[in-house]
Amino acid sequence: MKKENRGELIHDELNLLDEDMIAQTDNLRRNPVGRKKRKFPLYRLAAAAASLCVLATGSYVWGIISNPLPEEKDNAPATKSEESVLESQFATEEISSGNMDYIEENEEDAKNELESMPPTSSSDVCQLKNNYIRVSVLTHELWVNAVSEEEALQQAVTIDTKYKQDIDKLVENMCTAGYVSTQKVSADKDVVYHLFFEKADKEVVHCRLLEDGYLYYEDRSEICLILDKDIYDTINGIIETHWERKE
Amino acid sequence: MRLSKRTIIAVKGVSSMTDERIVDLYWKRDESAVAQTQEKYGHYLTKIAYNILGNMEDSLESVNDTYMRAWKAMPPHRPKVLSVFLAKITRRTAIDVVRRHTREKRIPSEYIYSLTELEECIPDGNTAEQAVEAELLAKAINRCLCTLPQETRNLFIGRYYSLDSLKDAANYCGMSETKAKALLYRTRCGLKEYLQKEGFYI
Repeated sequence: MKKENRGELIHDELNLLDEDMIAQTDNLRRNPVGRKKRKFPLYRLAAAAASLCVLATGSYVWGIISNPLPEEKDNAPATKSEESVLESQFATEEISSGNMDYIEENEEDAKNELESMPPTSSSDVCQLKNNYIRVSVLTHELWVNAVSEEEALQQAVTIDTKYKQDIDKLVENMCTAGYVSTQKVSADKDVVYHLFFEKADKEVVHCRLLEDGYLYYEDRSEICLILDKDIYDTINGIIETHWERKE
Repeated sequence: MRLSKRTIIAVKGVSSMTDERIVDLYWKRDESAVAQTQEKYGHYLTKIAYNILGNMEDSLESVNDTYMRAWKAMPPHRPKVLSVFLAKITRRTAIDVVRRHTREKRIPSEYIYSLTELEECIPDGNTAEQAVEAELLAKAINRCLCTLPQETRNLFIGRYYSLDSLKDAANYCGMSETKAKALLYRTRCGLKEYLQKEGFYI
């Protein structure tokens, strides 16, 4: 039998369907139930929440990846500081040999650098009394920042491993003691300040800050820090401010 | 009895009555039975006819034929459900019209003419054997549909008996068109399998 005819046959047979069955369907046709409302089951809600969590985690991880960690930031000056030691050694040789060209050139460079520096000295020194001090010596730069105790300790450790012992002690004293006492001696024209860094255990370390930027560690009679003129001026400003406040 | 379109329009507005009373009117040979039927089931029957024919003029003609056949059938027949009884008549009438139209649209070749002429040689489907076979097949289809869930059964009957569009059938069964389509496909396959099991090879 042809396909069409088979269909026709079925249609004919459907005419003999049970009347009750057809009546039931007719009743439904007249009173349709309508389309069922779509349910929003819990698993869909859970899936949506899970998707949001994944997105949030992804953005958090991306944030961590794209922004360098604070430790990484601190590593950068450490590399520079190694260079600064070498440069300071070279500068010592140049200054001691009286190379004026080198000194003038460096003075200009230092001035330019200081101009580009963020305003640290005045604002940070104001908080000297109440906060710990983080001092990091970069290339011809002295930074004084008010930070938390925890960070100050971390910085102290970093400095210990990177610099000479004398400088570390000087910095450590500044960090732990939280203040600096100075004494001006005008009789000696080379010496501008006698610096007494008082430590936590009341031990006093005596240093002399010379006009030409040399900082002598008095007790050992040796140079512990060579300062550029601008750096020297910065320190000078810090000390004066603090001295006045102490008064 | 010949019922015109004008007659049908004239009887509009008559209050509806119960099926039993309408059937009684037929049995009493009261012509208002037709008007009451038209009032109550006119739209329903026209819809069925239109689903099959897709043409309003032919549909109205089929519905009028239905009234006439119903008038002839009652008495002696007393239908259990009047609406289904009338719907079956309309359906059969409309399908006959479609078949007639299809035959008329065939290419006028000698082959087609010969087919029509030869058809007369073959005994028509009303032989006792064919009638029994058709009834057996109908019963098998009935049994198969009885095993289906109500939702599926309603959809199947709506689509293939009432010949509603897939969209309409899905709508009054409360499901999406896609689901209805899939459900109908599975039901057709199931019906085929069932009929083969019962020994019907069409």
